[in-house]
Amino acid sequence: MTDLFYAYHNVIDLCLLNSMLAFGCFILLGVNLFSLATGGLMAIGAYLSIWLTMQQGWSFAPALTAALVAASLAAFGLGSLVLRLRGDYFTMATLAFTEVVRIIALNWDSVTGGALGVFGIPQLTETWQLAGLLALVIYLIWAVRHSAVGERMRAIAADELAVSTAGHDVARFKLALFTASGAIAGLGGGLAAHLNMFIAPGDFGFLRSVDTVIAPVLGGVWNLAGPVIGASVLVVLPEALRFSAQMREILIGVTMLAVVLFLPAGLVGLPKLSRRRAAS
Amino acid sequence: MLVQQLVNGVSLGAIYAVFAIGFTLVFGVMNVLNLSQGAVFMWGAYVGLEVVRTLALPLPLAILAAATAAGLLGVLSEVLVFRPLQRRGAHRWMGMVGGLALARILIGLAQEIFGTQVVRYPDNALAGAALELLGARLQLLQIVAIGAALLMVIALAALLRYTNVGRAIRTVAFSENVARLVGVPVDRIRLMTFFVSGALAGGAGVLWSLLFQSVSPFMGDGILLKGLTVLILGGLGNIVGALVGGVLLGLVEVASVVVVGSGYRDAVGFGIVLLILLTRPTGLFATRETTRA
Amino acid sequence: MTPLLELRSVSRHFGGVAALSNVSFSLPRGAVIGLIGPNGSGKTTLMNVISGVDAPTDGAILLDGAPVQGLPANLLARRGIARTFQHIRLIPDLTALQNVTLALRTPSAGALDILLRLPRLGRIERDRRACGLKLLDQVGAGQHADTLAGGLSYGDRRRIEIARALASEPRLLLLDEPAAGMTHSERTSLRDLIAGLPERGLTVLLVEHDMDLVMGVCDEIHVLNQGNSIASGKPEAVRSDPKVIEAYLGAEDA
Repeated sequence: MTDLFYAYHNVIDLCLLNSMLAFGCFILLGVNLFSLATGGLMAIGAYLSIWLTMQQGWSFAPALTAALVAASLAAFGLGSLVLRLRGDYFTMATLAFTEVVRIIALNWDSVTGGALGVFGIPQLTETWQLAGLLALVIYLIWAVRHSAVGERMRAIAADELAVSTAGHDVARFKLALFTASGAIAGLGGGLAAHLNMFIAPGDFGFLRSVDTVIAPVLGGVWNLAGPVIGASVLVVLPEALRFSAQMREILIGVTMLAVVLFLPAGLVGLPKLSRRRAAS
Repeated sequence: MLVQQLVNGVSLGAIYAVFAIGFTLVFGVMNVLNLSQGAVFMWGAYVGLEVVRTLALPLPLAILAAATAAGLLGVLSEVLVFRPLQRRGAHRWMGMVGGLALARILIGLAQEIFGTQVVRYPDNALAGAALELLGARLQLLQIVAIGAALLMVIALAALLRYTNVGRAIRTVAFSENVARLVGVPVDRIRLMTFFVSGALAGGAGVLWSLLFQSVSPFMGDGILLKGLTVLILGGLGNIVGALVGGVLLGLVEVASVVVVGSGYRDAVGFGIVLLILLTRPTGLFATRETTRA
Repeated sequence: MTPLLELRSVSRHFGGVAALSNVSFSLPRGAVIGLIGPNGSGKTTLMNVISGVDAPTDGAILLDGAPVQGLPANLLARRGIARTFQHIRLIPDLTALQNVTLALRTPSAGALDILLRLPRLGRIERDRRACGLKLLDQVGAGQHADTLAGGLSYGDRRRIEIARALASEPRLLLLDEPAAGMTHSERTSLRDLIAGLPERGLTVLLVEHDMDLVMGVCDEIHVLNQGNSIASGKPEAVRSDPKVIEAYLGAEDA
């Protein structure tokens, strides 16, 4: 068992980290927000935390806290500007944010090392920390979903107008969720930076945002297990398909497409579906 | 110097515009954001390259072949992804993820078939040729790119305005239900729209790789982001907006290299997009049609 | 005494089309006021403008003498305006009870209560549940409390929507065709429900096509035609007003 852990602890770390990040998108998808801001918010958390640990001599916990706070503030600011945009315009604005942050990171050599990135980051992130924080995130989201606030979330997904005529400020509610998702992304950014010993601006661009938002869609948007399953599949699948880089891309694409086409509820819906097949 | 920069900007912008028009067409007609468009663009570039290199056919034929092949990929995306999702009434992010999945498959296939290294079109008479105009050295290629882009836009405009297919496309864009009621074969029209959209992306792919002398399996990601930028600049679903927005983006990027340096070239477009969205939430050239987005 | 709500030359234009032009009237406290008119006469637009779903192009809306035109729907709801919709807008995947508690004004749990699941949370949610059940009983839908709203009959959903509107403790209740799709007996109990609202301190603006209901329950009726106010007064007077008859006949001819 311990051997297995050492052989695969990279994969396990990534599963835990990406699952946590996926929850940041999960809570937004729950109110119909398809955000691509994750990469940009992660970058803020990542660069701030390594600047604090490497150049300011902070220890890990306060640096992570600072990353979380900074990304929450950035999400709050971004959200108050872009949340009034509808549908695809919102998605595009969040993408623009991520790309602008990435390009600033690319050019701000003194802090980010430019395109070459930052090397030799102390490896402070531990598996137990990732597991603990993921559990905390899951618990918090579970608690919110099983309360009147969770009902309000589902109501907003179904009919915003009905919720606002019932006396709720839908815009403020979404802003709170967006800020919370920023907190998760910032924390995840800090953890990611101290996991790999190396980061570059390319780690936090369009593709990072896309992969993060795809995870809950693959796993299931309505089930708390969804983000974990989706993120883990996206991490494990490429590892399992080591035989050819090209075939790997193709098979991941095929898997994603198959889920989108045949599993509307995501991979979480798979057991139910096969039970139904077996019964009929 | 100014004329030089102007031509650089317009030729770059013309390619953005061709790509973005295909993008915005599918959006305007079917309210679908097809995120596999970048990969279709890349495939167009490769098909054109193969036609020039292995079949040794002239450039116009290469563009035609690339456009046809890319158009068929557009059709494939409708049949494989967007039609089944629409039938099911799936949430629109399913379409986005489906498009991204298809893009991954297409990129993987391109790597498998063409390899991962960056290649370029063989040198021909076009590449080296240049002419002097008002003291500026203009590459013939740039003129060709602008001309070909213009030709594609005019062809599309004529198709939409003067043909039965074009009228049918515009009816579907207005409302699929209305189109069905008046007897428009909606499914076929959707296929044609995807074909035209893919063809424009493929044509843009060839022009791009001629101008920048590089073809690689990953060239689609960058242009996808540019296409999305132009889509917002011009207003989702607005074809004229995409044309103006594309050229504008090309000019702004070239100007930004002069003003703030090349490092921030790619940020300028997104910065403008953010600014525009904050002041005009439905894009710079938003029209009544686009509000249904 | 100032009326609860006063409309002063309220207009709403959509492009070149005037959905409402210069509509003025006031709602005295504790009255049930009917709003009738042929289809497309602007009734729902007026409801939207009053409830903040839409904003008037021109004119003033005074709630307790203070201008409220153009305020967002959630603020107007907080200030005592609740409504139902012509096309029912319940949340289909919430239960009837959850739909009602969504609008309750009784304090909901705070962030700490929820995140730490403090004992207070259970008490608060029990209280809210009790409030919601009481409201469902009042509209006669108590037996459906734990059924998903999407699976209920038309008449039941209409009543649950009224319960949700009442949950926000409004002073002004806007009912948009509440009897549509209801059976005869359901209409009778709806009529009793509406007639009893003024005793609870509510003022009601009722849009309805069922003339028996409107004539039976309203203190006063306003008639809209093509966005214009064409008549108002006691039910008997409005019923025999030639302009009103013409508007309805004209609409039926068309």
